[in-house]
This record gives sequence, C-alpha cells and structure tokens, in this order.
Amino acid sequence: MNLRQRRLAVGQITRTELKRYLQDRIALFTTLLMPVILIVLIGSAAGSAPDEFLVGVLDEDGSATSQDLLASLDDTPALAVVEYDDAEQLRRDIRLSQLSAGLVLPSGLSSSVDAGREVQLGLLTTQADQSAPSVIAAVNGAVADEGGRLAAAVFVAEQTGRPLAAAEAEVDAYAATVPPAQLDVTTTGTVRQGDENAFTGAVTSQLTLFVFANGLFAAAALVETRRLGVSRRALSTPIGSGALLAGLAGSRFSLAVLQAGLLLVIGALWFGVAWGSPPATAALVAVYCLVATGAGMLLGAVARTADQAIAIGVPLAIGTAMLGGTMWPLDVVGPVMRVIGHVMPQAWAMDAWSAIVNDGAGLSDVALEIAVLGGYAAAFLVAGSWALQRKLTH
Amino acid sequence: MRGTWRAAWLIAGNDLRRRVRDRSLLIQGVLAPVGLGLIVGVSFGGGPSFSATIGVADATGGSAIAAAVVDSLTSGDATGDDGDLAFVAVDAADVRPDVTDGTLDAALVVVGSPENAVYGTAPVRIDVVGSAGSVLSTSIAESVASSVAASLRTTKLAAGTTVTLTDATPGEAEQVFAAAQGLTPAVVVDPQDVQSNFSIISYFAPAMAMLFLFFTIGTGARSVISERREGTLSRIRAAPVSDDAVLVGKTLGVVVLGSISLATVWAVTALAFGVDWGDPVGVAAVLFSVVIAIAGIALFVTGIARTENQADAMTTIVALGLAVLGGSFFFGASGLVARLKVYTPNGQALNALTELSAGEGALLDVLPTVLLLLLVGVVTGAVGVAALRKKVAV
Repeated sequence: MNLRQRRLAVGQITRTELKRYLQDRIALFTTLLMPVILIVLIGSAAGSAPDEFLVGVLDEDGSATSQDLLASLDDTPALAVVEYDDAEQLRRDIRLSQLSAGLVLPSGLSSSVDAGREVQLGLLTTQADQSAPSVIAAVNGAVADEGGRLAAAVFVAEQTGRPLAAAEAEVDAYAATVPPAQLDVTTTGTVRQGDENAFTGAVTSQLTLFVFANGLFAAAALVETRRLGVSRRALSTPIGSGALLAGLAGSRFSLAVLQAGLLLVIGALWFGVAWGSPPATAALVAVYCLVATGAGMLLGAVARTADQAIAIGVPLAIGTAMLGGTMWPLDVVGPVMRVIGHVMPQAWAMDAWSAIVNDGAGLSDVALEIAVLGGYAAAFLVAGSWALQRKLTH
Repeated sequence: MRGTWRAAWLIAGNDLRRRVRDRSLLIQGVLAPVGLGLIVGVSFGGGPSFSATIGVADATGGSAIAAAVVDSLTSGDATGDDGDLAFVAVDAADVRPDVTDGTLDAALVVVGSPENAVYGTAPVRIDVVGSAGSVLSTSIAESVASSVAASLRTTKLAAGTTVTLTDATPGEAEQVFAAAQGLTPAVVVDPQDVQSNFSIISYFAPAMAMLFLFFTIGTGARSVISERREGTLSRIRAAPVSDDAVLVGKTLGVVVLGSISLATVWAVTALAFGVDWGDPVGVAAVLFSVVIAIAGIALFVTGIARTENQADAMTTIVALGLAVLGGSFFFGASGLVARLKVYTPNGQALNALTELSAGEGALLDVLPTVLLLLLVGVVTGAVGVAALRKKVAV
C-alpha cells in the first residue's frame, strides 16, 4: 500500500468509527446532554467562591437589645443571617453543614447588659469546620460597637459613682459628639471571570470531566470491535495494523474534539463564557483530547469485555474527576490532596483553563500545563497502541 | 405454588452465583462506591474549609496606638488555632501589591492619627484593601477593622465621658485615658462545639453505590432478554417451571444482589473506616427500600425496551440522569439541585440517610421516605414485570 492509500484507509476507518459512535444513544447523552445539564445545575447552584457565611441566630431573649445585635449582624457584609426559634433545629442544621455557624443570643441578655455584666454569645460550630475563626472574627466585628458602648458605660459608672443607667445615657450623649469611624474599603485587581460568571467554572470543569470520561467510555466499543473480530478482519486486508490503530485513534480524537468544540460554543453562546486566547485554548483542547484518546485506547486494550470496560471506566472517570478538581476546585482541599490531584491529567487541564479564562493567559503562559498533558497523551497513546497491537496480532 | 417458589429461588441463586463470579459486580457493587466515598472523605475530612491571610499595616508614621494594634492582631491570640485565619504584619507600601498578587487575601491599614482620634476630635480611620476576586476575605477584614475601630472608640467614650463629667485636670485626664486603654468589649463570642459524628463518606458512598446499582441491577434484569436470545430461557421453560417462577426468580435475584451490594458498602465503611450512618434500623429500611425502587425502575426500563442494546442504553441514561438530578455528585446542594433532588428515588434516599446520620433521626423520621420508595418500586416493578412476562412467553 502506498502512502496515499494508507491515508485513505485511515480516513475510512475514522469515518466508520465516527458513524458508529454517533448512532449510539448513550454516547450522545454523555457527550452533550449530560455535561450541559450539569453545567446548568452547577452554574445556577452557586458561584465558585462563597461571599458570605450563613449564620443561624437563635434569639432567646427577644428584647430590644437582642434585636439591635441581630440587626448589626444582618448589616455585616461577611454574614448572612437566618433566624431560628428552635435550638435543636439550629444544632441539626449545623450538623448537616447547612449553616457555617449558629449564634445564640441568650435569655437574660438584656438584663445582663442593663446590669453591666459581660454577655457571652454562644457561637456553635462543628469541630471539623475550619472556617470557624473567620466566622468568629465577623461576629466579633458585628457586636463590637454594642460591647464597647457597654464596657464604656461600666467604666464611667465605676469612675464617677453614677448608676449604670445614668452612665449609659452619658456615654450615649458623649458618643453623639464623637465622629464615627471611617472605614474605607477599596479593592484591587480585577474580578476574575470565574468569580463573576459561575458558569465559567462549570463549563470548563464539565468539559474537562466529560471529554476524559467519554474517552474512557469509548473503550467499550473498542473491546466490541476486538471481540467481534472486526479488527482482525481489517488486519487481513493490506492496510496493516499501524493504519488500523491510527484510524481508531483518529476517530476517538475527532469525537473528543467535536465534543470539546460543541461545549466551547455552547459555553460562549448560552453561558456567556469568554474563552480568551484562541491559540492557548486550541492547544489545550487538542492536547487534552489526545490524553482522553490515549486513555480510552489503553482501557480498550486491557479490558476483556465491554461490560468490564464500562465497569472500570465509569468509576475511573468519576474518581479521577474528583481527584483532579473537576467536581470541586482543588483550592478547597488540603495540600496533600492537591498534590495527589496533580497526578491526574484533569488537574493540569483545570489549571490551564483557569489561567486562560480568568487571568488572560496566552499560549506561553500555559506551556508547562500543555507540556505535562502532552506527556500524558504520549504515554497513554504509546502504551494503548502497543497493548492493542499485541491483542490484535497475538 | 411451593414449586414456583422453589424454582424461583433456584433461578435467583443461579443468577447470583454467576454475578458474584463476574468481577464487574465486585468493582461496581463495592469497590467503586467505597473508593469514591473515600476520595470525598479524604478531600473534605477536615470539614468545610475557608482560610484567609490578612495583612495589617501601620501607615500613620509612628503612632504608638497603631503599632499596638498591629502587634495585638499579629501576636497570635487573634488567629485561629490552625491558622485558617492568619494575620501578618506588612509594610503599608506592600499592601496593594501583595493583595493584587494574592500573597494576602485582604489587608487593613491604620491611617491618620489614632492618637488624635482617641484623645482629640478626629475620627478613627482604617483602610481596608481587598482583592476584587475575594469578596469574603475583604468582608472579614472589614469586620476585623470594625472591631479595632470599636475598641479605640470604647477607650474614647469611656475616658472622654468620665473626663467631661468629672471636669478632670489634664493630669487626671491622662490617668483616666491610661485606665481606659484596653477595655475589653462587654459582649463577647464564646465558641462552642456542636458534637457531630457525621462523615461525608456516609453521603457519597451510598450515592455512588446507588448509581452503580442501576448498572448491576440493570444487567440482572436484562438477563431475561439475553437468556431469550441465547436460548437458555427456552430450555428453562421446557422444564416444569412456570413463567411466573422465572420472573419471580429474576426479580428476587436483582433485589438480593442490590441489597448485598448496599449492605456491603455500609459494612465496609462502618467497620473499616468507622463511618457512622446513624440508626441501624432506619439505615437498613432506607437501603432496602431504595433497592426495591431501583430494581422496580430497572425492571420497568428493561420491560419497555425492545432490544437488549436499547435496555442497556436506557438504563445508563436513567442511571446517570438520576444520579445528576438526585444530587449524587453534590453534598449540601441548594437551589435548583435541592428542588430537583426530591423527585428522584436516590435523592430521596440520600436525604433520608443524611437525616439519619447528620440529623440523628430514627426510623420514624424516615418512614415516609421508605414507604414512598417502596411504592415507587412496586408500581414500576409491576409494570416492568408485566411487560417482561410477554417477552418470556414469546
């Protein structure tokens, strides 16, 4: 066979495999429908970064003082307040992680304040909740004015011998002459696209998840091709195993590119994602599709049956997606899990996507990530082709 | 009748033996759910995580009060026990660059003259510098700045009111101000721990187990069609075995298979990893009822499918679709996901299991869910079996 015939054969195998795949309803579901459903669900569920802590408040006192404290908690930007009237319900929702913390304004709060006694507000958190110090700082800031006013009144009462109520009135009268504190809040840097448009993270993570997952799922069809003897029959023709493997890889790569391309278009048109540098985006998509192609060929070579390919492929796709930061950002896990996550190609792809869509990175800025992904692609493709060739020719 | 049951148990036992020998059952039924549950457990074992590093700077040009503020915030007492909220002293000139490049999440800068604010008539001035992309850190820095401002204001109010009321001489006033330094607020936050044995593994392990249950049960249900194709069904019917016995046997097989799978996941996570799923009677009831529901749906899908391939495709789509809508991939979902979740059997079961583990509920609390799942299973299963009866008879 000359080079032209070989190229024609590769093209024909690619087209046939593509046609088979596109007739498969599961494939169409996992290629497009499921990622889009997930993008809608994840993108509309929440932004990528929380901008306040949800704190449940149980007002056991029900006094004007407790209502004042509640109002100042409500005014604090870091806190979103939900009122509770049942302590057990409050504790339950904290255990269920539906709240960052619970604050109890105890009964007798108002009388303690009137008597000049220190008031302790119980802040309920679970031990495992690492955001507790930040919530405490925010609540302390909210109650600081009232606590300071009261401490000042107690001081004045002690120093001047006046009753506490009179001292409080004097402090309030004096406070009216003191200028309020000036807190100027300014921000620096620009709002990253991912923080502004929650769909940005959803589209990039689902694209990364499903291109790899579909690569693995395609292994089942590869096993079937092997099992039914289609590959052996193809090998009996003059096209040779190299062209057959190139055709199989070509079809899977084309599908991955098609899926990624459609998700990029849907991301831009439906979800308003701005994709940044075209060369960087194109290079990332191309190299990542090669990774998915290689992984699928490797699984297709080692799995004995199509059922086994699915039995391994689905958990493998979900597990690597979890570890690689496509189900939750690796920023929210500990340093050890972040390192383990970067054993997965997904983590490198997510890093590159974040740089491209959030920081305006160009091709040279994501060269490292693309090089690492290139390494994965080469390793998977070489190992997959070698194993497949052995299976087909032995 | 006795003969029917005997034959049914024989068929169920035979199906079970074949499935246990097949390694894909071990992977999908036990290894995958436990493994994926563990990944989530290790990633989020420390509970929800939020950490912020906040810079504190003195731009007053030599104020003793500002120096004391920087010192007290960064001395360690104010930070969380494991550094999730850390304060670091920085040069005022470095604040913006450090916040911009992400070295700091936010910063507060004491400006103006704090001495003039405490002893004179100027306002307390603190600048908060945050990153545009980190709203929560900025809000926390703002809360800390409020606390600092309130503390300075407390000294001012306490000493100022006293000096005014007592017509103190400059010498006496100095003593009063010295005495009012460092007054602590009278309303303080007292952190308390809410005991919780909840492990995120007790959410994700069953979530993943239910996803894979569709595949394992689906394969079992499809065996009616595959046995018809392979001719083994005709051989069974040639024996004195009724069609009902075949269908009851197949149904029993999938229910026992599903129950073993979920019970094993429960046992492995509880015994090997000490995960507490809550009230054992309630857990057993929820797991059994969700097996019935999933078995019913799988039989329904298989019953209405025309071919084995179609049944396979529909089972996969239903399994993945319900997993997505049922919140199998998100914990603590809100909004759209939480609303859709209650319309899926796996979502209902996950809510009930969370109620038992984190909510410390008992059987009675989850009984409505158990009954609902049984109803779904019986209704869909009855339709499915009726449709399969025609397939057996053909």
